[in-house]
Amino acid sequence: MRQLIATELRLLYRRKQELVNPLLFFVLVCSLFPLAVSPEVGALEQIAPGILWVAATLASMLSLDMLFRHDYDDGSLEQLTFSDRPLYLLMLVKIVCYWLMSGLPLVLVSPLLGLMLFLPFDAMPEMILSLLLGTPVLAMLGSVGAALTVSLRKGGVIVALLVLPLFMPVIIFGSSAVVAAAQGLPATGQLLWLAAFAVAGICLAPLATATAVRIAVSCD
Amino acid sequence: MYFNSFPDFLAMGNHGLYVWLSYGFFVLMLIWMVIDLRLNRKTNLKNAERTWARDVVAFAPGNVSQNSPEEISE
Amino acid sequence: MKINWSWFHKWTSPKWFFQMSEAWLPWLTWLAISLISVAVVWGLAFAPPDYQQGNSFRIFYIHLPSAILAQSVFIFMAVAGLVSLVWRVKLADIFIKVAAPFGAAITLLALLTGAIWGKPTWGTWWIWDARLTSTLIQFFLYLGVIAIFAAMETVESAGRAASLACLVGVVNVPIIKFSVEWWNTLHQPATFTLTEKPAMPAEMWLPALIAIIGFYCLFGAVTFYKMQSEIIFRERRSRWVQERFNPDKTHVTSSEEN
Repeated sequence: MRQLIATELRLLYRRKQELVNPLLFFVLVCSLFPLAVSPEVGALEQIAPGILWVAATLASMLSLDMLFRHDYDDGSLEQLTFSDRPLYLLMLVKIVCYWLMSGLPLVLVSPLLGLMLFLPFDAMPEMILSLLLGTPVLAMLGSVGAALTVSLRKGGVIVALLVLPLFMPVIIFGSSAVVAAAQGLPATGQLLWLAAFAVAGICLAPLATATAVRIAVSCD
Repeated sequence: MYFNSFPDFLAMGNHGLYVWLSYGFFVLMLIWMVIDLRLNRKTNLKNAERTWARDVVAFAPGNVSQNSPEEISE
Repeated sequence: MKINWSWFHKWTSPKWFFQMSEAWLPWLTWLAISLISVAVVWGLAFAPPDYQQGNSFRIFYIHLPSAILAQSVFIFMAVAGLVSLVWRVKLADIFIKVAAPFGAAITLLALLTGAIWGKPTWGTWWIWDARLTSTLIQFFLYLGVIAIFAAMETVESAGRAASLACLVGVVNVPIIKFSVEWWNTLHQPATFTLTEKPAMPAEMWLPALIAIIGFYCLFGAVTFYKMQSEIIFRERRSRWVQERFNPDKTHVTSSEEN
């Protein structure tokens, strides 16, 4: 198990070019809004939570394809299904490693982007926390979509179609937590919801992903 | 009957646009469904017939050598 | 308790389903046409207008059944998805493929009639409250299932992927259902519950109930007919299909007879 984690991290690190893309995307999209909407403090600080959350969601979706694509193409995904370890655990490892390399950087960069978008200082902790809880959920839900579409050659849009409806509650609660904090209201309710999603995701998503991987591998 | 006359019925107490628009969408949906059902049945039958024609032509006894390459490899 | 498993086994046979649905189809079609016609005429002309909303309330007789079916069709699809994944039943795959477009259309109808009704009642075409937003999400989920069947190369892999998508997506249905209870939203709570009498008089909820049953019959008729079309193509190599639709030149190339 430890070997698998180490291998997974090493492989992901070797493909860091693909992982940096979502991060750059996140930064670029957040930079577009002041140019397109208004550089005024008043306007930006109102929509900062929303921009950050939508950009983080889209960035999370960008790199989903590489979660399973390389393993599928060289056959190691199929090998994983034959392993004597439960596929559930293997999927959990993959998702967690993927989040560490792609979701966590988004969380770490978000305070900088928050400053850039004039997010009120009071809302910073809630924003980081909401992304910290929310990006794993996005990774887990996204992994189901990625596994379902890995056998398609051009599955890009379908992943979005399948996975964005499921993302919507996460975006709603995540953004609402930051907005509440910016207004000085407590955001514990929304954060607890996100935590609940995260817990439910850890328990159920690897199961769905494992089933999806078996489907993808068996139908060729 | 809650309406005294046909113009009253159409106007629906000045909510006529909304009510008739909604029922209109409903009727449109029903029409689309019927068209889709018919088209779908025709397409499926046509695709099935293509397989039947190909099988009969290709595997009918004594027919092998007389088949032009186009017919077999359809 | 002895379970009659052979009853379940029957349901896995496309041939049995085809014959059963042929018997039911005329009934379902006529029930659908008559019930919906009765409900529409009753709702449009004979039901009293709502004392607050006036005649725009008549949209209720279309909006309510379509909203109910928007949720329940997806539940049926999720159950079929479970059956397909666990027991590998082909008919369940076919059901999902056929039900998804119907579900999408009826959800769109619910959204459209709701928006049109909202304008005179709430003053706005749309509001991002819990029920409307989650119904919109439901619409996208249906489109996702349709896209899976369009994109995947083999029907079998598409069926299994769609089954999983339905199982994952079904979590949205309780969200729609309970959203009006969990959150203070603009949308009103349910009209029909299992425990209480509806708050409106009989001449208003009766046509609604008839409409709901009529819509379910419509769903049944459309689904049965389309599943038959699908079965004709998928089982085209079997003898019983060819005898029915290609009687002069029946030729069985494989031993697939079901």
